[in-house]
This record gives sequence, C-alpha cells and structure tokens, in this order.
Amino acid sequence: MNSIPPAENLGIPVDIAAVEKQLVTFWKSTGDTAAAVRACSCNLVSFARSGKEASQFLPVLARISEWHPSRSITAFVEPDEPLDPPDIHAWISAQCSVPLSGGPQVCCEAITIAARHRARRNLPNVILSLLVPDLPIYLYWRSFRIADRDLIQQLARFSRLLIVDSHQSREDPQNRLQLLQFLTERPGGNAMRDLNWSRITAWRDLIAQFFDSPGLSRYAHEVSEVEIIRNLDHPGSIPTRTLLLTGWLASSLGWRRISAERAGDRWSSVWKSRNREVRVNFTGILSEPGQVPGINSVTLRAGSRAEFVVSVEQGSHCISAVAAVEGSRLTHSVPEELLDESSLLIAELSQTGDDSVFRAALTEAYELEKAFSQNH
Amino acid sequence: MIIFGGSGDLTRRKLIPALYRLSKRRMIPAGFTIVGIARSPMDDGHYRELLRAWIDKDPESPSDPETWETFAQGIHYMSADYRNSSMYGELDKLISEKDAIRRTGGNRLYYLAIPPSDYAGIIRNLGANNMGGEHTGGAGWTRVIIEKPFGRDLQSAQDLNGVVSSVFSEDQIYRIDHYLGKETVQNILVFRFANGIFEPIWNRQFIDHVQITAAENIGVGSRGAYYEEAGALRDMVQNHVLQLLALVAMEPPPDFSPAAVRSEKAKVLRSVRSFTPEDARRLSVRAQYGPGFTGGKEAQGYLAERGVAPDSRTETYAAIKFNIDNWRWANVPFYVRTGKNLAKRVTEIAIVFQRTPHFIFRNAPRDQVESNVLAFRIQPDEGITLKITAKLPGQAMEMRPVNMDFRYGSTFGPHLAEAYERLLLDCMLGDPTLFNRIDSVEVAWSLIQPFLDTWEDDRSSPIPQYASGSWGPAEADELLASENRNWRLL
Repeated sequence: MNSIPPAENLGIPVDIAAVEKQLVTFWKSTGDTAAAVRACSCNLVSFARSGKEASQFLPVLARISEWHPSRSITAFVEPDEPLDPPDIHAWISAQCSVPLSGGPQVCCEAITIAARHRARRNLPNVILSLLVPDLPIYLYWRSFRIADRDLIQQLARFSRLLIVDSHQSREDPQNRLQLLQFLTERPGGNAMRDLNWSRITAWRDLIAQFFDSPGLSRYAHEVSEVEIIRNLDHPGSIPTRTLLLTGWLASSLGWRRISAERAGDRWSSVWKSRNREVRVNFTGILSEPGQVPGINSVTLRAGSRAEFVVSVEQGSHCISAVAAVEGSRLTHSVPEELLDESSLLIAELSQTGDDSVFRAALTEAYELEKAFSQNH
Repeated sequence: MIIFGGSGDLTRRKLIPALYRLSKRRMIPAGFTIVGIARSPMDDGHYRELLRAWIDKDPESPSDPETWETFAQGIHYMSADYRNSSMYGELDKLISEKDAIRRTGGNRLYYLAIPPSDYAGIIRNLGANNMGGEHTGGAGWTRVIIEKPFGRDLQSAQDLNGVVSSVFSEDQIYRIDHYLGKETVQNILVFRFANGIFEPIWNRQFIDHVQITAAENIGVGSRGAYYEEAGALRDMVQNHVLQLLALVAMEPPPDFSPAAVRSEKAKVLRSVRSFTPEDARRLSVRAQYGPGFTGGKEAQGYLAERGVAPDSRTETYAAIKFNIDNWRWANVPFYVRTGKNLAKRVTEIAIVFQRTPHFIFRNAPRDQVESNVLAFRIQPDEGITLKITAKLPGQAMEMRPVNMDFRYGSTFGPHLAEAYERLLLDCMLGDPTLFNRIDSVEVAWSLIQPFLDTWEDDRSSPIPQYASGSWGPAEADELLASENRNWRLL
C-alpha cells in the first residue's frame, strides 16, 4: 500500500489491512505490562474535515479517554490529487492517563484513517471493521458537510448516539440550515446531540429554576416578552444557540409561532401561548476584540409584574439569575462552566439516551431558522 | 504417514508445519516417516528442501538444525500419479521398506490432501491392493484422514461413504474438520460441562437466541473454479458451522469418550428441524459479494473473479435460521451466517440471553439495556466475552454495556497449538473424538439438502449482492429484523 504520512502528527503510520495486528505489536512495545492497563468501554467514531483537524482532535480524545475509555477512530477525507491512487491510510496512537486514585496508567487506542478519491465511499465499511465488538458506538460528526451526509447515515445505523457541533457551521447559514434539517430527520432513528445544546445548559438550568419555585411557577405561562442579547463574531449571523434557546422555550411552554422577521442584527418572532401573544426579540452586538461570542443576557417578562433575567456578570466568570417579582428580588449566581470541546463531549457521553427535550427544541429552532431565511 | 497431494497447498500450509511442530515438541517418535506422493519429478533430497522452505515460512516455528536433522531423515517422496492404479503396488512396497528401516511397527496413516473428486479412486485402489486392512503392515494400525467436504450433497456423501466403508471400518476413518481442533472449540465443551453455573441457564428459559458467525475478509482469490462448485453452504455451513451448532446445543455426554461425545453431537443434529422447500426459501438468505474494500484493499465483485462464470449463481454468503426441536431448545432460533469478503475475519458463537422480565429503572432509557451475551470467539483472538450492563459513574442512572473478557493469548500465552497439530496427533493416538462420524456428516447434509435443491431450482430471482467489506446483504438483516433481532456487529 502506498502510504504517504501527512505533515500532521497522527501517530504511527500502519497498513490499513493490519491495524489490529499492529495495535497488538504496539501495545507489546509500549507497555502492555502491569504498569499500564488497556481500557475500552465504547467506540468513539469521529469525522474531521482534514488531517490537520484530526491531529488537533487527538488531545481532545486523550482528555475524553480519561472519563470514557474508548477505541477512538477518527476519519477524514484527503483532498483529491489526480495522480494519487484511491487508497486508505491509517495511523495508530495511544492515549494514556494516570487515574486520580492511583494505580497503573490507563491507556486507550486511537486510530486515524484517511481516504482518498473513490476510497471515500469505503470509509463506513473500513470503520465497521475496526470497531470493538459488543461495545456501544458513539458517532461525533465534528464538522458538518452535506457532502458527507451519506457516510454519516451509513454509520448512524450502527450508532447509539450521534453528536454534532453546529457551532462549526456558524459561518455558513446554508450549511447550518442543512445540518438542522439533517438532525430533525433523525438519521438512524437513534439519539443525537448538538454540542451547542450543551453550551446553553447553564442558561436553560437557570431559566427553568426560576419556575421550579412553587410561588413562581405560574409565571412561566404568563411570559409575554423575551429579550435575548448576544455577542456576535460577525454581523448578520443567526447564532444556533439563540435559536435553540428560543426553540426550547417555545417547545417547553407550548408556544406556536405566528411570525418571524429579521432586520440586520435584530430579529423578532411572535408566538401564541394559550390566550396571549409572546414576542421574542433578539439583538446581536458585535463582539469586541478578546470577547468570547455567546449569549449575553436573557430576559423574560410577565407583563409588568415579573421580570426574570439571566446574564453574564462582566469580569467575574459567573452567570447570575435575578427574579424580580412584585417587589421581591431573588438572585442566584453560578460560575461559567468550562465549555471546551472535550468537556462538552465528556458530558454528552455521560448521558447517551434520547433527549426528547432537545429534539423538540431542535424542531422549533429549525423551523424558526427556515422562516428567517425565507423572510430575509 | 502417506500424504496424497504431497506438494499441494494444504500440505504446504498446514500439514508439514504441524508435523514439524509436533516433532519439535517431542510429540512424535524418532521413527516417524512421511511419504509424500505427487506427480512432480523430484527425489527425496529435493522434497526435503521443499519442505524445509515451507517450514521456514512459519513465523512461529521455523526450522532449527537439531529438529530438522531428525525430522528430515523420515521424509521420502514418491513421484507418481495417484489416479494410476499401477502405482499402488510400488507404494505398498516403499511403505513396507521404510517401515522395516524406521521401525514404525506397521502403522499407516493415509492423508487425502487432494481434490475431493479423487477420494473414491484412491480408496478403491488402496482396497484393491489390500492396503486398507487394520493390520496391513503387520501388527500396526491403518487409518485414513479425509478432508472436508465429504461429498457435495447427501447422495454423494452416502455414495462416498459406501466406497470408504468397503475398504476401511468406521474406527479407521477420520473425517477431519479443522475447526474442531481449535482450542476455543474444544473449550466450548469444557466451559459448558466443567462449570456448574452455566448448565442451569443453558436452555430456552434463559436464552433468547444463538448466533453463529463464520466471516472471512478475503474473497475466493485463485480458488474461483473450486468455489464455483462449492459455495458458502457446502464450504462452511454443512461442516464447520453445523459442528459448532452441535457443540453448543448438545446434551451433556456421560463422559468424554469419543463414542459418547460423537453420539450426543449426532443426536442434537437429528433434532434440528428439517426444512420444506418453502421453509428453505423463507428462512435463508444467499448472496454474492460485489465490489468494495476489504482486507485493506479494493476488492472486485465475485462475478469478476478468475474462474467464476459471469452468470454464476454460486453463493458467497449464506444466512439460515435453524430451530432445534427438543425440550432444551424449543423456540430458540439458531441464526448462522457465513460469507467471504465481509468486514472482518471472525468466527464466533454468541449466546444471547433474554432481557430482564421487568425494567425497574424508569428514568433510564430502556434502549440502553441490551441483552447479556456470552460470546465464544473461535478466531482470531480466541477467548470468551460476557457482556453485562453496568451503571456509568455519575448522578444520572446511565447504563452502558461492558465486557468481561477472557483471552487465551493474555491468560495462557500467545502460543496456542494449531488445530492440525492437535488433530494429527489425536489421529495417531487413535482418538476420534474431534473427528466427524458418518452419522453426523449425513445428517448435516440432510439438513442443508433442501437449501441446495431450492437454490438450484430457483433461477428466476436475482441473487442479492453485498458490498465487499460490509456485513452482508440487507436481506440477511431483514431475516432477523422481522423477529425484532439484529445480527451482532463484530
């Protein structure tokens, strides 16, 4: 086999036909002894856009393996070079960590595979041949491309959970719309997640907790106005997190959309809730240099009697929740969670069942995005 | 040991390396003698060189000077056409000479490492020259090892047996199925009958179904012409797969004697429900591999292979649902599948247990809890795995399947005896436990005969195709999906 290692460090290049054999040799040579334990509780299959992205993903996998020891298989499609043959390359590496409780280090194996030309269509079967039997398969589609849809659909049939990150599609509204549509179709009929959904978990928790109190629960159905302020990394974008948050509010509170309008970086939508209308306004503010794009504040108003605000506290790395209800004021602050890719994936892999709340929010978010794109 | 087909593929890949290893491990005596018979003109010296080259290709046990020197002394060659009846007198004379020189006590073991179509001719010639009797060479024994396939359908198996049994008695005949010599296959019996905890749950009350998979990730290669005459059903199901089924499903024998074990195997095979032509159509799937990617390279479809007819209807994949009509296994389906150019090379038996009768974890997703599975991995990476469900650490009642593994390689070291070592030695020692008795062979043929007939008759519908490197055709998935089950993803 013609093996051309890319510039990126993806591990030890091996013959794709002998990956399992090479892994055995590899473990023998790198400490398959009492000092190291091979661990594997699941198969984590990921798709990257390029060799560079795949190599950047290896440290993420290392962190994940501390929580979810897995055989990771990361695949990417190499750019077509007309003179190169249609083939598949493979690399192997180990991810090791020392448990906090002490004892021997725990090691997992990472396989990276790259396909070129028409060999791309063989990727699903190559991946199937590398899975550890009997363990659940989790599929992480890191960067959505509609062109890869067929590959993912084939693998989703065998997977227990499909994870995507719509954040990666933020600069391409059409691509993002296709992603949301793809997710609403629920490929493989299995559970699915979007890392952007996890990025707003703290916001959802704090908003929901307002109405957990018996004295405040009735205000949930009296909300008449929602205002979401968000930092944008570029003008004109419609952040998925904002859409998902709106979709979550609508699906959780039983709203039905009446209209959606957009003007520059301001958008509004009107919903029907029981016997009243709810207006949801979005305001996008361009991020200043060094500022992380994300939701700034969410304000829910129930007429003039109650206002519920969740917002980022400037300079304190905290999110605070303030409920001002008929003269009384309740506050609650929580630290902002670490939301890097590995932390989000660790959380997703810890709860892999179907999330009907997410699915309902996603459906609303997709329909809202579609309405915005039609009305723009 | 007289090897018909002394320069053939089986002799090169399996027999000679196995015999050399046995010699190295001092399992065969100094006087052990090989007489290789083939048509190529060659003397003993050249034959020895050829054999040494074969042995040196064995990474586990290349030749060493000490072992080779004694091993080589017993190697002889006879250049002859075994189809020619006049050679047998000369062969008998040669064997007698070597017997006298090397003091083998008159023991003779004939090994038929030749195409099955030549079995009957050789046996007849051995009989005609009085070379098949139990004490042909004096006080010693005479045995014959016959490779599979033993016949190509029920009638031809019975015909062949008629020929063989006219020359040899049943206790001289060793019908070899190398799967039965594998450690893991033998371990099925130890696992079942030397552990007290499994027998009580080894029945219809606890087991939902059984899956047997014998998958290869290579195509027919240069054996296209042979395979055209065989197909997956004859090549794998009639022998290997049904033997595995018998070992899993048989009742405990009274002891580990050859007669007791082989009688129980035959008994359970007789309990397998026979198929009407309609059953054969409904409960089976056949398919051919198409182009794809497997074993690390692009693969062409079966119809494009050398030696394969462009309109061939020979199956390279077969999946069948068997039922066993006895008290232990009533209503427990045994799904078997075998094929070439599949995703992986793996042979395993999976015992899939019934789910819990009541699920108490209301806040946990029901679909996270899978059936317990006990999997015997026959090859590669031989071992046993028990899949159980465990709670994932954390606040939520999240569950995940985990494996408890026993691996021969990591428990007992990587050097397992090759199946042929075990079987050749058993034959020399006169232990036929791991060889197939004629009743098992015939009942196995009778079980698959309806498929052979139905598939032969059915020339109207196209044969399903599956991509090389996949796990087989969609029709096979549907065979299980229609009963709310899935093939295991191995």
